[in-house]
Amino acid sequence: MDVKEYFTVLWAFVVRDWQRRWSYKLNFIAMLLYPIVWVSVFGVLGRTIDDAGGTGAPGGFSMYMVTGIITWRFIRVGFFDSSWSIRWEQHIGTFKNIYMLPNHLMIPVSATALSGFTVSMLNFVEMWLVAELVFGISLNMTVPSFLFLVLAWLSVIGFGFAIAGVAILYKEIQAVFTVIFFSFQFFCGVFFPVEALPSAAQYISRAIPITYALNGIRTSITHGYIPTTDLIVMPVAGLIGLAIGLITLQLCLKKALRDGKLERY
Amino acid sequence: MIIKVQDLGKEFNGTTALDGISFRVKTGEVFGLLGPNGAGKTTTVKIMSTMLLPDDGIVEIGGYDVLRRPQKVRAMVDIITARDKFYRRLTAYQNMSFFSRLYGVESWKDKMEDYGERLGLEKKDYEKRLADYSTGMRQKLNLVRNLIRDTPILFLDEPTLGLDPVSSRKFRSLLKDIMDREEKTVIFTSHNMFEVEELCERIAILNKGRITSVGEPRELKKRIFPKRLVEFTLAKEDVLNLRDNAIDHIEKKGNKVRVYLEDGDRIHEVIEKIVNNVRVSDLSVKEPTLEEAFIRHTEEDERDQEEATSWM
Repeated sequence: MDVKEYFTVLWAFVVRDWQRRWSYKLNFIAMLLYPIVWVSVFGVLGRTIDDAGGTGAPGGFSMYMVTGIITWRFIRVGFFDSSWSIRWEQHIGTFKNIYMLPNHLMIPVSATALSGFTVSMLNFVEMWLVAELVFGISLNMTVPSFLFLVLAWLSVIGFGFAIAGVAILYKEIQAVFTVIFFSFQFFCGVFFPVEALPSAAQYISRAIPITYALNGIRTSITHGYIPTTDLIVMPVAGLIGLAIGLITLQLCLKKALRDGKLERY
Repeated sequence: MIIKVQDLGKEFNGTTALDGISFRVKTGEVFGLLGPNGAGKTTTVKIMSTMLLPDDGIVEIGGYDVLRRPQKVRAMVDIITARDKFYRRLTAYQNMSFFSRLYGVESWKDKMEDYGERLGLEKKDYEKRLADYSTGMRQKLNLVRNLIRDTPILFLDEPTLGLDPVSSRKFRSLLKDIMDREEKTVIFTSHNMFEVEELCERIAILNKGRITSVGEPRELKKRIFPKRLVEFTLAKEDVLNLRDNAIDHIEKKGNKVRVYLEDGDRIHEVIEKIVNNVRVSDLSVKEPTLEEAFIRHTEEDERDQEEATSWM
């Protein structure tokens, strides 16, 4: 498969997903409104805390909250779309037709992740505009800080691939990972600084790459640079995550092929 | 030989699904796998299409080993089952556009409309969402999807399951038409003897993971169930007194008589004896159906297996 064919296939998935989203009109509107509501709630919360004296966070607590929620939303969509990809096709019964192509299974998984990226981008723009226009929070998003955001997205994709693989064998597993992933909101400093956590919990925070993603984005917006630690940790974590994801997906696929669980028809 | 299956074995949690089956299929041949539920038909098809790993044996499709070159195999084969799905919220056009891009097929729309017309789908149907399609229409579109992809080998795994008798007959007729035109190698699995007899050039009968017989439908019927049947209505006052070593047994119900022959080659002699012996009307000669042959064969096979295990 050459590069042109590869991108044609990726594009087919993106188009299909947007057609599917559009077919549920109310869901489509909700998908557009949801991030606006979300950023508004946390924007107001941050402003209230700032009005009450603030927390000393650079740029104010409203800035802290909004950057946290935008970054979290960006990462979360990437993670869930990649981890849900194979399971979703199995669930609706189209997996066999995709698997029967002479392509690697990574194509539908990465294509679904790419499709999720387009949603992340749309939500990002919406939230950014609301933050700027409604709350007057100036998110000084430079090209390096945006690239860092994409890097953060990439760093969780690998883990999404791993879960996509495990979900072929154990259908219930995704619910467990969903709970774990949402607990990251508590540990990674989405809504409050990591330093506010008990010291034992802070060790967990430092082991999760999303902590570095959030810190890097915030620092780049408020101070105009990305801390070296975050710059090193993110690509390394992304590569490790991708390696774990690919190996896990491959192992799970092989087991599913042996046990006859690939299609379950 | 485009398909070679040699000593294929597969177990699921200690239960034998395939017990060393072997068969070969020629290019362009329509080959049937006939067997009751749980015989191993779908397992065989899944292994041949790289969706399941075998425990033992060799499977080569178009010269490629399914274990070593699965991607090459997948480029050559496609499967149609009754369980195949589309994206229900998308229209037929949108679905086919997606799958055609995946298959790398250009000008898919013309092909879709051309094949669809042959299968009885109309252009206005393509604007409908798949959620509004009947099972029969969906299965037609499924066949269109395969024809657009145009693989030289097609596995049809019980494709008419769930279709009503009329749709099922239409679908078989479409398949027959396509098989005649397209020169595809087809593996057709079913537990429906009539379908297999109608569509397949050769058949392998599977039972409990083993192939118990392979051959052309007519040859199989003769081999498994060599009896032929003479049916007639006997005149009321006549008494039938027929003796011949070609006769297996005679059934009488009122004045309706059925004479089963052990030796089908001597049928003319027996008929001559009947018409010379008594006055008859509505005389007809019947061959056993593949269904009768199949039921008898699987019963005999199961009896043989039970006897073999009782010695152990």
